[in-house]
This record gives sequence, structure tokens and C-alpha cells, in this order.
Amino acid sequence: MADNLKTALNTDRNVKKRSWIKAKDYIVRFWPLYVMLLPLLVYLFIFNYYPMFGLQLAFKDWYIRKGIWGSPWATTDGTLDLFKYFNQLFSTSMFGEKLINTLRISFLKMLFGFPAPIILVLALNELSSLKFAKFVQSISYIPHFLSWVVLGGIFLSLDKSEIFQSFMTALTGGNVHFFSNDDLYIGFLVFSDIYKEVGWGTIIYLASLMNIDPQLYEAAALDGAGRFKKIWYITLPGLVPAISINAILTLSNVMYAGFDQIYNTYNDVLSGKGETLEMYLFRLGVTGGDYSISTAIGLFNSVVGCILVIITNFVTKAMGGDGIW
Amino acid sequence: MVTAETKNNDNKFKHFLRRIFGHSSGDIAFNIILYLFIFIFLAIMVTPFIYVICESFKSRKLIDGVPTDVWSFAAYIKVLENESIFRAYLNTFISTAFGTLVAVALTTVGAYPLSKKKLIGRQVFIVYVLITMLFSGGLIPFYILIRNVLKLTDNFLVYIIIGATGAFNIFIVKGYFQGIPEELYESAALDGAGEFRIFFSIYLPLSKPIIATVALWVAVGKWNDYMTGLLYITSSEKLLIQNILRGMLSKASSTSGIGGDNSLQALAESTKMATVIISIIPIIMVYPFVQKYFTKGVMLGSVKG
Repeated sequence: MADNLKTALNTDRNVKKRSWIKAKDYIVRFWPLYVMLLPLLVYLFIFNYYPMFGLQLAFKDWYIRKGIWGSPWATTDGTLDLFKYFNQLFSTSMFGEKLINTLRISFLKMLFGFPAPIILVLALNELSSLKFAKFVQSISYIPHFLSWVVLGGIFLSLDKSEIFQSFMTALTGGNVHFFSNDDLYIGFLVFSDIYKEVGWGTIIYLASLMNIDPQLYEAAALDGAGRFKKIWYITLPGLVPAISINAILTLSNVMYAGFDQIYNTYNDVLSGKGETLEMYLFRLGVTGGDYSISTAIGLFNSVVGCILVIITNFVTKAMGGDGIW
Repeated sequence: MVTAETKNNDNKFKHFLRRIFGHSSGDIAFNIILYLFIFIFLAIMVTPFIYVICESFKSRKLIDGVPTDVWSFAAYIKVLENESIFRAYLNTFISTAFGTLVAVALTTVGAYPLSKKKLIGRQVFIVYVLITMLFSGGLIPFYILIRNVLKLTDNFLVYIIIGATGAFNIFIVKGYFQGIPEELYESAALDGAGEFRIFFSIYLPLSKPIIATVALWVAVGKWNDYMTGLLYITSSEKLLIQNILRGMLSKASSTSGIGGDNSLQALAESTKMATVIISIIPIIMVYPFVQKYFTKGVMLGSVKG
């Protein structure tokens, strides 16, 4: 018995040499692994793979009674026209508009949101009291754990309040309502995104900070370097690998401008710069019931997202980082 | 004697100031800017929360015929007496507890075989999981799956089933399992322990930190989930606290038609803010104790999935 087990355990390291007897040992020993794997495979099949097959709906005319598989391929005037919904999508200026809205918001978020955690982590690193630095960090993590329903609600309420408006009057000489003007609203999106994620964003830089050799600082101090110089010539270069990898990861999310944030703060007074592709998809599909065309938008988003992730992974690996796979 | 003591204290104070602000003038200027920056940052971070707390304790009363704001618990009492809020709160606890349990079970049990190098077909299974990370069917096919294929509309199970596992968590747990010394596995196997036994009595107990991390992430996600209720629940007594909050807080009128409880929209600001406080209390309460687990996962994820 123990011998069989030993062979089963050992031969698995060189699978090719296994004879059928060893294969039997293998099955006797390792069948539970497959049993354990099964629920996961089934779950992913139903909830991830089945919807992927559902993307065929972008090329079909949806009939609710026939379902995704039973619905016929898209036709116009009786002739097969697989790209009917894509043509519909690209023929109006709507799609381009929403795409530009999406890119505008996510680029602005990157422009301001990307340096924010780096600046914060540099400042925290300069604090002489470790306890105080940890305290500031703990406070800064909190908003990350709250939903956009809550945060959006708080900001909407704050925007209406007398206290905030009198503060804005003192600052700018008039009331400023962030939810009634498109440009201010985009400013709010950028700000509140930083508010929620800046603390959380520092975590990946902290590990790099700890890897910087303290002797470098001592040597620099002997050479008469001030604190700004130490930051510029030691701390920042120490963070560069983490920064570059994070930059590429952020870029791969460019098609997602933050649905939850916009969906929970948007209102009809705004005239449309906040309408991203995801918002458009949601409105057409869920609210409007136009499944085929909104699946086409979803397919577009998925394909672009997938390509970006693959490029990202390639570039990170080429730069010597750990890719996703 | 007295003068010596005051002198000593004086020196201590100077020493303290020096420690914080430094010795040279350049250092002092640097530190003033640094601490100014940190304090402005802290002020911005806490202002919304202070506002919510203050607002929730306000209530408007007529004093000598003039409406005046006074401090009171009135809003909280109103919220706690509100049946739909209470029910949603209870629903959220239930969906979070069971949802997290199912997610942890599915993820750890599935990640274990993937961490075993001797599993024949391992690479195929890993790619199978990886693909779900790269590509997704998107909202509408998933929506049709839940509503038309599985027919789970208005079924409480959707809260538990949706998002029960994901590639990212599977890879993180798998990576952790792989870090557990192989010798432990082999000696247990030679002592006659089967795979189930090894998983439950060696791997699970040794993986508490990563299980805590994944469980907390899932739990926060479940607690904050409003989309599931919005898309798949039709009867208001099955909604979660985030749905109730959304109905109260969101200005969006045209888009909130489905799944929201609009009867709550006309409430006073203090009641809304009291509900916000009540909804974030569980997160804030556990937060100090579990913070290290939250951050640990990010580190692991950045090292290798």
C-alpha cells in the first residue's frame, strides 16, 4: 500500500514515464482533486463562459421567447446582415460621443489620480513618527471600503448643504453646484475618485519603499544632500519599477471610467459629458430592453479591454515584472 | 530645584520640537510644508464624515415660532422604527454572511487542486480560469442568463450565487497554497491521509491569513452590493440596505426606476444621513481589527497571482 503510494507520488513528477498500473495508482490517489475542482469549473462555466457565448446576441435579432441560442441571425429586409447592430451603432454620432466621454473621464482620472498616491506615499515616508504615518494611512484607506451609493450620497448631500456653499462662496465669491454643470461634474468625478482610492493606492508603493537600502540615505546625508534631494535621487528612483508597472495596469483600464460612481451621482440636469459607454449600454439594455445593440457595445468593450490587458501583460513582462500569467 | 525642573521641561519641549521640526532652517521649512500638507489631507479626508455625523444628529424644531436646528437622536429613532430599513439591514447581514461562506468554500476548495503540480491537466484548468479574467460576456448576456435562463428573478439566492468566486481570488489562494512546504504534504500523504484530509487539516489551518483576506474582500463587496438588488429583485422586502440608501440618496430620477424604494425619497436630510451612518457602522467597526488582512492581499496580489 505504502509502496503504491510512493510510486504514485513520485512518478507524477515525470508524467510521461507512467505505465497503466501507475495510472491506476494515480487515479486511486488523486481522484479527490478532480472532485474538488468540479464545483469551480461548473460555476465558471455557468457564470462566466455561458455569458461569453451569449455575446452572439450582438449578431442576432433578439426574441424573448426563443432565447439567445434560438433567436435568428440578424437580418435586414429578409437578407442576412450579421453586423446590423454594429452598423446601427456606428452610423449615429452617439457611439463616438460616448466613447469620447469615456476616454475623457478616464484620462483625466489617470492624469490626476495616478500621481496622487505617489505624492502621498512620499509625504508619509518623510514623517518622523511611524505611528502618526500609520494613523494617516488608516484614515486614508476608509473610503475605499464604502460603496459609491454611500459616498455619492454623502457628496450629493454635502453639495446641497449651507455649510459647504458658504465655504465655496468665501472661496470663489458665489455658490458652486457640482451636480448641475458638466465640467464641474467631471471635476467632481476626478476628485471623488482620488478621495476614495488615494490611500489604498499607496499600498503597492509601500513594499518598494521598504526595499530601499537605508545606507543610501546615510551616504547621501554625508554628502550633504537635503531632504528634497534625498526624495528626488533615492526615494523616487526606488519607486520607479512599481510606478511603471502600475502605470501600465492603469492604462489597461481606460475603457472603464467608473460605472458605479457615475450611475449613483448622475442626474438629468447634466447635459451628457458624464454619459460613458457603460452608462449608454445600461440605459439601452437594462432600462430600454434593446438587448442586441447593447450586447454589441458590451462586445466592443470586452474585446478592447482584452487586447489592452494582453498588451499590458506583455509590456510588464518585457520590463522584467511579473505578468498576470 | 524648581528652576532646574522647569529648565529640564523646557529642554524636553525643545527636544520634542527639534525631533519633529528638525535642526537646520531648511529642515524646519521642509517640515512645516510637510505637516501642512498632511493636515490639509487629513482634513479633506474626514470632512465628509464629520458632516454626515453632524447632519444625522440635527433635527429642526420650532422654538418661539422660528425653525431652529437642535441636536437630537430623532433621526436615528425614525430610522430604527422604519420597517423597510430594518428588513433591508437584516437581509444584508444574511446575504453577506452566506455569500461570504459560499465564496470562501468555493474558492479555497477549487484553488487547492490547482496548486498541486501533480494534477494532470493542471495547465488546462489554469488557462480555463485565466480566460475568465481576460474576457467577459458583459452585462446583457449575464442579465439574460439570470433572468431568462436560470429564472432567478426575485429569488434571494441571487445575492449568494452572483460573484461567488473569481479568477483573481482563486489565483491568490492558489499562490498561497503553493507557498506551503511540500514536505508537510508528502509526510501526511505517507501517513495515509487522503487529499480531503490533507486539505482540511493541513492546508486550511495554515492558510488563515489569506482566507481572512479573501473573506473580507468578498464580505465588503456583498455589503456594498446594490446592483444585484437593482437588476434582479422585484419585491421591496427582499432588497438590501444599499438599495434602500440609493432610493433615498440618489438624485437620478430617470435611471432609478427599477428596484428602488422611491417612497423614501422625500425624507429629511438628517434621516438620510442617519441611515448612511447605520449602513457603514459594520464596516467601520470591524475595520481596525482586520485592516492588516485587507492590505495583505494587495501585497500578495502584486507579488504574484
